[in-house]
Amino acid sequence: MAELYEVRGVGVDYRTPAGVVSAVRGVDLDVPASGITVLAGPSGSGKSTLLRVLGLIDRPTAGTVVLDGADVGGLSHKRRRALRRDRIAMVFQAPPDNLIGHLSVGGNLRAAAESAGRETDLGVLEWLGIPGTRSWRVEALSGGQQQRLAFGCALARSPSVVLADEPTSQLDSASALLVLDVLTGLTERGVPVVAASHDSELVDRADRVVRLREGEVVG
Amino acid sequence: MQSPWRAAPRAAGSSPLTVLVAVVAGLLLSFVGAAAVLHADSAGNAAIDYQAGRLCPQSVSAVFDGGGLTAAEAERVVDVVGEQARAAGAGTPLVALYSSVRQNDFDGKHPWSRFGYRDGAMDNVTVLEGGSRDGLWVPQSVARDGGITLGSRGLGGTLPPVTAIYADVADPVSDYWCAERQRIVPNPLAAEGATAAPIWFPDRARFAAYLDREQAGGGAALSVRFPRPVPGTVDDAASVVAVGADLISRVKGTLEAEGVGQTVTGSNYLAKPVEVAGKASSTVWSAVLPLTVISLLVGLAGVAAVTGQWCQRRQAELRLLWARGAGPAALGGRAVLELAAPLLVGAVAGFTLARVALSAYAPSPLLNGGTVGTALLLVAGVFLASLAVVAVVTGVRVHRTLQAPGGRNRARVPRWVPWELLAAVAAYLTWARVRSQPVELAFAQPLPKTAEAAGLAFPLLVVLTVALVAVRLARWGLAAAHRVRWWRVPAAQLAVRRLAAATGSAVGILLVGVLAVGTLTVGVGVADAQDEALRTKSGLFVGAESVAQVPRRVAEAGLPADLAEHATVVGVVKAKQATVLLVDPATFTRGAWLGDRDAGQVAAALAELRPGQALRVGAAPGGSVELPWVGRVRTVAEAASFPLIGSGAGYVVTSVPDPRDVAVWQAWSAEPVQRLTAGLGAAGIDFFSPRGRAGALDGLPFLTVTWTFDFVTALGFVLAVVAAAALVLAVEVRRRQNALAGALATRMGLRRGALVLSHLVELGSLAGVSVLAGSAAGWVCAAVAAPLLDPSPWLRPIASAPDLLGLVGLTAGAAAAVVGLICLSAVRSVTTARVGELIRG
Repeated sequence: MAELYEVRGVGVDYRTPAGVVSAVRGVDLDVPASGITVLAGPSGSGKSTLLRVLGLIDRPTAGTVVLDGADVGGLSHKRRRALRRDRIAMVFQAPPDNLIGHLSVGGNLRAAAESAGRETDLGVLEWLGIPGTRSWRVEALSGGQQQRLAFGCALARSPSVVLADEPTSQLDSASALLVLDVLTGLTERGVPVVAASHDSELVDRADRVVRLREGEVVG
Repeated sequence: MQSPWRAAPRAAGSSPLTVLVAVVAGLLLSFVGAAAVLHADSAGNAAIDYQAGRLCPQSVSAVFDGGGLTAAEAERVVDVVGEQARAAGAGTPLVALYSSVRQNDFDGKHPWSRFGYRDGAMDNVTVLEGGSRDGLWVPQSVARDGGITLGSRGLGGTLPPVTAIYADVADPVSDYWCAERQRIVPNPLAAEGATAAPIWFPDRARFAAYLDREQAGGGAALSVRFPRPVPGTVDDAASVVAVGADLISRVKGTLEAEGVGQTVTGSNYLAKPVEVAGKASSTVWSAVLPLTVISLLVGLAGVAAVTGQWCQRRQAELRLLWARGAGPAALGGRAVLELAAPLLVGAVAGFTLARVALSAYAPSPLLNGGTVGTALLLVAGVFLASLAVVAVVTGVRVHRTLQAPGGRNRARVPRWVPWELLAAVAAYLTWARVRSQPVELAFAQPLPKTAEAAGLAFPLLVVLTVALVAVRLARWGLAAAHRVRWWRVPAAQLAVRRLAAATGSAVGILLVGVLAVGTLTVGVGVADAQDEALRTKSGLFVGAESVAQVPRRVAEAGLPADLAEHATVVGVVKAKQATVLLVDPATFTRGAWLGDRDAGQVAAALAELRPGQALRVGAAPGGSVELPWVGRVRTVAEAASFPLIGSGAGYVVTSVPDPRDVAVWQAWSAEPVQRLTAGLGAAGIDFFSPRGRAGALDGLPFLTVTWTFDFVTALGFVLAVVAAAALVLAVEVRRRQNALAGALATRMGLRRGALVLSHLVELGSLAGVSVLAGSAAGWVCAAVAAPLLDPSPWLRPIASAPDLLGLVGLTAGAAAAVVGLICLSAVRSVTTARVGELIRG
């Protein structure tokens, strides 16, 4: 199986008032270009930090990150932005953070597609289980619906990978299951998903689980 | 353009508070910029208005004067001027011709008289007898002296018959006569034959025939004028001057070619006022520029604060768009698209306000052509600058928080720059400049030569220094506030914690607050000081509100009762080294200008002067002094200054050996000149050279300083509004957080009174420090700057800061009212949040 990401010796340090804190230390990781990969671990284990490194949001303070064969660690801000625009879709933990509040549901899909230079396919609303909401305000959707729409927006951008940070942590179990179905659906459409989560349901559905503890890969 | 950018203008509606604050910021920025341009231009027009008001309206356009002209020469000059005036578009000329004063024969009597002709003269005198316009009109004084009656024919019957006797034209003369005052108002106190009111011919042809026939007194005096309304703006005045200069050039050219050019002079009296008005405008502009720039920077800082608040509210959207590949510049553009509309609305409103309210803050409501366009350009520039601030602040914030987090926070660097030291050095340098080159009028200089930006900016830089020092101390204090343990006084502890939690907005409000109160105080202080100095100096210079020269018999007989109520008679002896005033202790304080002196004390001091005793004024020698026409006197009292003498050398006595030795007698009145002359006329008292205090000194240099600081006051008011709005905003953006904290605290046992008090202490401390520091700085600056900015320090007293207690009280009252209202709102939010907010929280 081809590797989407090849991560070698990655470390991420943060400066805090108490001194430098290493959120991630010496991580080696290969992420396949298909299926669901879950970065699992307790709070503070560094899974979200590692996800942000993969999403080209944070820069590693050590090590290399290779995306599709290209080292992206030392790229300029401009090149990293271009990669984020063309290749990566990020879904944040809180559903409202993934949507633009003053746009409608359809407007959000359009905005996501436009951001990557793609055509808008509003038919995805049906696939997401929220048909007939095209003209609705985002606020009118429930948290689960908003999170599913967030993945719809990610799909609308036709990315090489969808990165999801704790996608179900703020949802009730029924809504979470619907979101997991969407994740599974994404992989069936050929879009690999990397998620940081300690949701056991998500871990069960993962094709690969990377366990982290105190910033290091433990299994 | 992608949809988040396309939809940005509509997105603004999702936060009415941000929109409102952006509108207010845009309004203030635009108002300050536009008002500075309009105010400076208006100052030029006010300078024209002031100077033209001191100019005879008949001398506004070009004036041609000639002397010793034959009838033919005079006619030729009038024809040439008329022709060229038509060509130059200068209007219709008003011609006046006069013979010299001589004893003309009327039926064997030879009264001193002169003949004259002036277009429209017969329409501007009061006829006492007769009135037919085909004969001579004789002034009452000449008719009385020569026994002339209707039908008399002078010069052996060669003159037309007398058909009217008219009342002599007396001071103060109307606008029609103001240019001819010297020739038509006889001086009853002058030597015989020196002056005489004219006998008017009915037309110019018959006056010319008389001149030809008599070859009278070496020819005629000619005056040709072009009466027109006084121009209201510098542009209009400059246009009048240009037409006048063109006309003078044409007329002189033609007349010189004909050989009569030497006998005629052309004058353009408005040229100098136009030049001075231009200088006044540029002086005011350069003087208000520093504060305008500071105010614009404060306004742009406000826009930056609004943008910062917008970034906080749109943080999730910015992060989402950034994660999708948008860069800082694109997100800056996103902010611009959302905030541009409210900023534009504010800019339009600010410009409209500056234009509509011009008469409320500027010295003249009139503007020159192109000024509004210039102001619009500046407003457009300021608007673009505010958009640039929005874009840059957003871009930098995105870069700092998303693109390169953990990097060095350069935004904190300005905090370490010692701005207060830089401002203090600038203030010292400007002070040193004003000290070495006081704002003093050079001889024949119409405006303060060094009333430049540096000199007039000094008080503002001091206020800025004080504001920055207050900010620095507040920042240090709030940084150390976490050590405070004032739980015995919970209100104070809560207030300090709330202030420390919002240090940024607290010091921002403090900066604007101190600047506002300081500029208000210094503006009002210096402007009032200049007004008062002009009033006092002109009062001392003239001696009274109005003065007229009167015959000695008035001093001997005393003034009639109704005049004596507001007037006194003063004898004036001008000697080489000193001026001696002979005053009547009983009536002196009724008429003389005393300023803020106590009339009772002055009267008592004068009443104690015995014959041979004098009051010494200024630097005059004391002891026993020999005074011309007064004899030897002994000084028994002294005064630093005295009406008419000022602070120069002089003596005041209450008796002289022989009043006939006193050369000049004057009636001094506390009433305007019209009332004095009317009273003297009604009492049958001859008078001459009446003048009032108001026009005695050229007030333009004082007014220029006053106008400058009036604008400073206006900007201080604007800054005060900004400070109040910032206080409201600071409370509003933390409303929910404060409401929750307050509701929790009250549930935990905090008394409602303590809660109210904590808000009062929090907001009151900001307002209190602003008022205290601002007032103190403003007051001290006004006291130091007012004498340095006095354009005529040789005329005592030198300008000094007025009593500003009332203003400080008003400022403190307004600040207390604002604090009270905001406090009420904050407490209400706590009481209404107690249930709902806690449940939701």
